[in-house]
Amino acid sequence: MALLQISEPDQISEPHHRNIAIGIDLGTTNSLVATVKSGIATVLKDYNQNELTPSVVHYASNKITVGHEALQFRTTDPKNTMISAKRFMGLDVDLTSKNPVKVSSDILSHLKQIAIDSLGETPIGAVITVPAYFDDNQRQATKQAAEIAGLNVLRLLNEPTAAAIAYGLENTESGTFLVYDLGGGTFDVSILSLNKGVFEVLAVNGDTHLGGDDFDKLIYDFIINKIGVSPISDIEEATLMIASRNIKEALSMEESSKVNCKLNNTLYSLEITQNDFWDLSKSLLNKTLMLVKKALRDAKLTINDINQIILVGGSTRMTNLRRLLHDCFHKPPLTSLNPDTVVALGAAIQADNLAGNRNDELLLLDVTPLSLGLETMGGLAQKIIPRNSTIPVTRAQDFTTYKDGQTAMTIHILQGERELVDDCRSLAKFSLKGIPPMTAGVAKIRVTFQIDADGLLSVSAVEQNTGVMSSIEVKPSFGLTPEQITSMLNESIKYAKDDINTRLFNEAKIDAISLVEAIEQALQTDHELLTNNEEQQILLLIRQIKTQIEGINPKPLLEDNAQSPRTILKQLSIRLNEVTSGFASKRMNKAIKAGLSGKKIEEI
Amino acid sequence: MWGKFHRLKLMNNIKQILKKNCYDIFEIEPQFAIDTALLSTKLHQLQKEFHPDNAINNELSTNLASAHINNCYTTLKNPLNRSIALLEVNGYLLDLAKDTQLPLEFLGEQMELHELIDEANGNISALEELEQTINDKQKQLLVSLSDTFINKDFQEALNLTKQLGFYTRLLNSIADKINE
Amino acid sequence: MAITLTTNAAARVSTFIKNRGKGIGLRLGVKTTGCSGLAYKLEFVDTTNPDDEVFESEGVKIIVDKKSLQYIDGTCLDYTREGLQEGFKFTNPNVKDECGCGESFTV
Repeated sequence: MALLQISEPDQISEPHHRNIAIGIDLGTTNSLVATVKSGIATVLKDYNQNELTPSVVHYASNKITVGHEALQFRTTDPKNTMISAKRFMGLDVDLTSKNPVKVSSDILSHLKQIAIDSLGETPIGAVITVPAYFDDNQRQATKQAAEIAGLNVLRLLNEPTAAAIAYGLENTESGTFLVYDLGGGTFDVSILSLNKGVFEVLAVNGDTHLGGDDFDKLIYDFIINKIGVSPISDIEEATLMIASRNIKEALSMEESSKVNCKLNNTLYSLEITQNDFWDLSKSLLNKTLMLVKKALRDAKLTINDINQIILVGGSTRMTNLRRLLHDCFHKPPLTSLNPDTVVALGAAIQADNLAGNRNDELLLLDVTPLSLGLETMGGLAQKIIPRNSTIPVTRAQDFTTYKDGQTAMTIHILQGERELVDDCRSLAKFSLKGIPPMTAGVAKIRVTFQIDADGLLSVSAVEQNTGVMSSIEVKPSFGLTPEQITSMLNESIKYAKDDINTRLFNEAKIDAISLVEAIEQALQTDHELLTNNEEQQILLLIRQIKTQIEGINPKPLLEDNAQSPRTILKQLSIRLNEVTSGFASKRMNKAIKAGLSGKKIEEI
Repeated sequence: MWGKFHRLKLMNNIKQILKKNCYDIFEIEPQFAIDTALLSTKLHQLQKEFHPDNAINNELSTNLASAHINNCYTTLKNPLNRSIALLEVNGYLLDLAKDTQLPLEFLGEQMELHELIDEANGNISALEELEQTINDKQKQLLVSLSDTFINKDFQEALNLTKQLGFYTRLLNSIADKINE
Repeated sequence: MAITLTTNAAARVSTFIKNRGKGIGLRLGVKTTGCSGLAYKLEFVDTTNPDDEVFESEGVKIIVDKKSLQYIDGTCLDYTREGLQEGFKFTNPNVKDECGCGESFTV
């Protein structure tokens, strides 16, 4: 039984359809799920009261372990324990069970289950956050992971934007923020203006391969250098990596920290001070400041225009980083927010907004982080949508044929700021086919590129003279093809702890049973309110639902198609609901009349 | 019932938006000088209605209308694109890629500036200084451009817009060099 | 009779209203559904209507429209934890039977 939450006035919908949506921060090191309950954004805790789920998955031959329970396997079974999968999102994947999309989908499934257990029902959808600087491949891979986990993606939301929502709505009416987001494996800087509930992103910059992990690695290398011995096994390497992270965390509270590590059967001890760490990390930190300056340039702002600096990501607890930002902006960064949870909370607020549960206005105008371009003659990239364009955005470009009778052509789509094709990310090669045969140069094929509110690209093409829609064949340079996704979906069923469909069917079954029971009871007391015909219709539907409930062992089909037992059951329940709605209001009227004439409700 | 009415109304509004030119969408007088604060307020108003985040509860796709509004916002915010759009409103089409005929004196100055950029050789402060110089020149040009539009001297506006195109290219090239 | 809140529920409602930044109280009500006929609703209140009855319990204003009151008079609202779930729970003396979800009921 689900416990109730308070809704906004007049927003309440039908029972069983309470539009609960969740926000998920899918992080390199830790992931979180949050929702808005009675108007407050809240991180959902697991059974052990943990808010953070380590983004770690362990694969045994027939068991997948996610989160805290998987942590131990980092040192006992590092080969089968996947950490920091987010760093490899959007890269060419092999189709083993351990590719980054699959690992991410297993983490998302785990978070989804925490949400279901906490909410007592399946959320209608999720907002999933991504680094603002993620390119199209990385965003597509994230969306695919969510689909494989059976989540309805309401929106992919940029992490710094999510943080700004969580911060801005709580604290301020208007102003210009700079969000400095150093995650486990990614760095983003975002500049936004907030004005009466409208968040307008002015510029973003970042590096999807620079994060807290890299600072751990600096300490790791420093230790190896100092003691002059390298780890001889995966296990030693993993242990030293964890020790390095612990030192980084300790140094954000203390002046120095001591490490004891066992390498090659010898115990070593070493002291690292904040000064050591400052020297080690200076160049990485300066690299992030360079990106901050680029974003300011693109936003046509100076340091003095920034009202507040919001810190996101556990790594922003580093003392040296806070000091550097303080010096650079001449003001202290905000530390009132928990940098670990702020992104998930913002995602939850936007999810609640997209699910239609908010009365006040909240609008996000985000941007595309990287320029979109096409390959032209000589291996050069021609930009067609510049970086920091507000999304959604469309651009049309005309192409023509260079040979008589030519019926096909290829378009190579790129993302990045560099001039040479080889220096940009290759997104896809599109083959335009079915161009009507014409003299060279006569055909005019208008190709329209659209980047939607998720930051995802789609392409369409029309030959302008004939109006013929060219068919487009997409060959993603990276990521998964639809066939690969289908195969992974099937795979995930094999691995899933409990079959999603069985659970969904069981939920539909419970709803249907309670519906039938309630109506049967109403029929016993009030069937005289119905015509014979109406009553027969209701009884027939009840019989059909009972047959459907008793006779079915749902096949594990993930596709929710028209033939699935759950869909049939839901449709029957909806029918029954419709057919009995007149009956319900008649009963209501009867009850009110009875009430007015002083009868006790129990006697009706 | 109300839902259906709302859908029809929204569908009609989307059609209207896609048909209109940028000045009409933002309900701004077709002049070169514009109030950028007003532009931003107007963008927020329009997107509150058309952004797909708000239209998610009905199945209508507002992506195209929302994108068209964003495109127009970018066009009007950027002086070069605004000038081209304003010329178009007045019946003059300008294709910067093809139409580059300008006085030799101006082209000579452009050559010089390009050489100066190359000579700066990635030196950030030299590039920033150069950027400042070109920015000043561009500002003067924008004032003249605004006047020619007020005087409805569209032939001269065409010429100045072409020059503005050259300055914009210079500034972009400097920005790219600084970013590298 | 009246509508009452447990101390715990009242404390939560006050927090939620304070966080929301506006609102004069909590609306309890029922609405008709096709299901078993009635379902609870729980909303923040910004304005009251002429046919509303206002109660006060544990310092929190509770607003109920007259039509709904027939079905929930005497209800006690609690805030409770069940497993990972947290939320409000109705204890309604008028209820004869409720569906598994706890949101809809028959009288």
